[in-house]
Amino acid sequence: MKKIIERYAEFVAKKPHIILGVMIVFTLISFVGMSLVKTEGMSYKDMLPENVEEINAINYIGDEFGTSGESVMVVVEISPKYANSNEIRDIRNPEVVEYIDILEQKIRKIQGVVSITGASDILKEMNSGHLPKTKSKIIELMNKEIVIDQSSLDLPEALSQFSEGLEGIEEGMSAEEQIIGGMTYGLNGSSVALDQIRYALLSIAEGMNQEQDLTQITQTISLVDQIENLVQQSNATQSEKMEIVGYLEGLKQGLNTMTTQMAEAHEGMQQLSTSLNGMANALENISSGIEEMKNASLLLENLTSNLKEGVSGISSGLDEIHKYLELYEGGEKNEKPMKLNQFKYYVSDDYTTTIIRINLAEMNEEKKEEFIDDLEHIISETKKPAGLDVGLTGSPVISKELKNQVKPTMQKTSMFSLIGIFIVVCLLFLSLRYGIISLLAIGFGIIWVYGVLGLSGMPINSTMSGGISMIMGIGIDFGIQVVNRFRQERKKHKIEKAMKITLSNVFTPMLITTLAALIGFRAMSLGQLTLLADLGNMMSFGVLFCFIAAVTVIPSVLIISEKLKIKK
Amino acid sequence: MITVILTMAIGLGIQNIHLQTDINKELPQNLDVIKLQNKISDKFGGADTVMVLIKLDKNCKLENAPKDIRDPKVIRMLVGIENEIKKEPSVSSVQSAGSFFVYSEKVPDNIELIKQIFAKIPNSEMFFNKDYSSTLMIISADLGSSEEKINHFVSKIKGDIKSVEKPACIDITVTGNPPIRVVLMKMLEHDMIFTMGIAAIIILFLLILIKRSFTKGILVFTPLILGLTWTLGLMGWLNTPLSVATVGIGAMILGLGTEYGIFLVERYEEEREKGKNQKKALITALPSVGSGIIGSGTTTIVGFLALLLASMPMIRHLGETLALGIFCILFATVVVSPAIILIEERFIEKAEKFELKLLRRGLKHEKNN
Repeated sequence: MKKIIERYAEFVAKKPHIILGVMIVFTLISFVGMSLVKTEGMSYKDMLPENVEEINAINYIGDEFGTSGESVMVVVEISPKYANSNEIRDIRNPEVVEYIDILEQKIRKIQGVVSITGASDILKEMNSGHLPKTKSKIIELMNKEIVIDQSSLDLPEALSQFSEGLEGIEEGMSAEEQIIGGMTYGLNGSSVALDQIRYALLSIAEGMNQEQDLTQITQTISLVDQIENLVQQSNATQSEKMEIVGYLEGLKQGLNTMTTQMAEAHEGMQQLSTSLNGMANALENISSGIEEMKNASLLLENLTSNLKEGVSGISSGLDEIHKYLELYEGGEKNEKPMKLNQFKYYVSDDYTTTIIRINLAEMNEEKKEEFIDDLEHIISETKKPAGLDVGLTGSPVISKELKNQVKPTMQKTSMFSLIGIFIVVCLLFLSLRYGIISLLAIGFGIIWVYGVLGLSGMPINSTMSGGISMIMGIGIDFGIQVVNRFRQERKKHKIEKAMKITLSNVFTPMLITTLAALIGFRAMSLGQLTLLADLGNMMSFGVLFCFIAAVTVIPSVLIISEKLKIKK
Repeated sequence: MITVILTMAIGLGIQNIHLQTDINKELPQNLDVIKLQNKISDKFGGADTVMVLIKLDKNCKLENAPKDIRDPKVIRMLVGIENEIKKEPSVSSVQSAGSFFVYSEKVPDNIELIKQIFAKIPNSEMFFNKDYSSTLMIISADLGSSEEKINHFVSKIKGDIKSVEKPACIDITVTGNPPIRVVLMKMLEHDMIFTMGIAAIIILFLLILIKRSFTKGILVFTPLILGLTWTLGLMGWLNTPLSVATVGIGAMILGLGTEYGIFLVERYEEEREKGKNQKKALITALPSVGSGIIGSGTTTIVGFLALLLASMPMIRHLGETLALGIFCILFATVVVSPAIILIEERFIEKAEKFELKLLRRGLKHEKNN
């Protein structure tokens, strides 16, 4: 082993460019891999060990009961900004319920939703499929508990009484139906008859109202007067004249009496016409009243039909309960009622928060992220009532957020680590040149780690975000050991010999160190809690590559740099 | 002697190490999404919810075994378990398919009737899976953050479940956040010892193999064990918890700390091979390697301390614990190792002299015979 190391040391000392060239080729390949490195988030599931009864059970529950770790929750909270404003201060506000319902309807359309449940669903279910429009109704429904209290009920008796009552109602309704039918028929007939009477009266009144022609009688009287004069002037005898005048006078008197009677009759007719018009108006009013009664009768008819349906529904429900009672012979009484309020899973006790629970189908990381983006888009585009805060949480959302944290964390910790290490090595060697050369081990080592991660498709997760910083801290040791020993030997020997002695002496301890570190990292993954197993793998690669870089790149660069220094 | 007293004093802290099983605390608490998650857990009681999963054993061939989880025997068992659990003072509510019956003797004997009853209860399907092969009991409790209280509560729940007669071919598992924390507690203790033990054995074996000497292997290994004991002791004194993130530190510290002892011992031996006596070899080796290992130890500590800037608390805890571990091992190597090197050599010398003495006695005895 020692001889191999010595031969290798001689080769490095003589041909540093070849070693460096090969390492640079590896590095260039690693650059390709680096561009393929992906980051990923992590979920609670990732943090838990596998093949443990309790964990398997929770995963099973998640899959089978829809309470999966893969569920996203839309959290709607009240968050009024101003005092005495119109902002919402109670989650039971109808506007909130409507908003939740709109959100649910939109979310339901996204691909990957297995189920979605929120308070609005339960409210609709309890309110015949409609959203309650008033706060009082919402409160009433939310306070409603499904109570199965067998202690206060003597069900069989209550049911039989209820049945009897229902039968009574049914009979009553059937009688009522007949009455309503008769009434409607009668009212229809009455209405037609009244219309006809009214029309007749109006016709009579019109007829009566027409003026009689009295002028003809007056003209006849004057004609009689003229005849009377002509008779007087004629050659007829006095007695003949007297006789004719007598006739004519009688005619005149008759005509005058007729005129008087006709005038009186006209006056009477006028009075009758007025009365008939009044009667016609009264009949019109009666007719419209009958029309209204007809409408009322129709309404009553509808109501009766609805009631009938309701009664039939209750009746069939009762039949089923009867069946249950027949099967269930437990006539004894329970003492405690069972209460179930479904809202407690969706509305907080202080009515400040409500959640919409979305269970997701099995999907990959990318699809989950797309789903969350869609969800965020829906939330931002849906107009929300004032005073509400809407947020997302749940395992996939946390995972996405943690993923977003990976790169900034890596940059921050790596930068701090690099600066700190650089200061320490520069102080240690009191030389910028040796400080930089010792950093080459971690520089190359980290590039190769990234290359391997990228080419193997192993993503960097949250636990690995500090890995680069740790590799720097561990890997720099190799660089320091090689540079430190080389500097010591260089004081006593020429470049090649100094390197030969250096590598011969540091190779074995460095190899042991690397092996020990690898054992440490592998042992870490042997337990049941393997949360940091990925970090361990990354560190294993890191330490190994830093070791390789320390025995290849650093000696080559040290020799080239020393030779250049001598040349100068 | 000083080292032994120091180790005993610091080592006492090991018994103060407390376990941190709340995984949620290992996530970045300043993130809005985590804050929201915590709020939801507080308001909807997610943190202290214990779930009891009751499943049909599908492999069971018994004839009278329940084939549907709504079997009267199962429902009766649920009622019984529920009534037992309700007696626990910290339980705020228990809900299961058995809640609708209140008393086990009130459960109908006819499964069809039970199905009819559930069909009439809105949302009762939430207690069953789709093929009615399992059912769920949800227990809400107020447990607080005390690991001991959680452990006690979970044991009580398991006891309550055992006290009720169970039908054949039914599997019951208690899960949820509190039982998982109990499992993690056991695992943390087990894993800490197991991973550390495995790493220690393999590294010691490797050292003995490479150094081709048991005592030389022990020589490099001793500062590791001292440093590790100090680290764990200081974790106890500094109130640093043992969590899913720090459970592997024992193995990691052993792996990373080997370097310092190896370099020191190798260099010492190198000087001794040159013919220098113990003192001179140590005087040459310690300063020349010392600066190297202090430098590399410091850079490693810097690398680990950089993790304090990470957003994940678990990574921060890991960084601070590893930095502490490396410091302890570095200190043990630089301060204690030289003394152990001398003691080991003297021990070897004495052993050799003793062996020589025995050999001479043997020879003398042979001559006399």
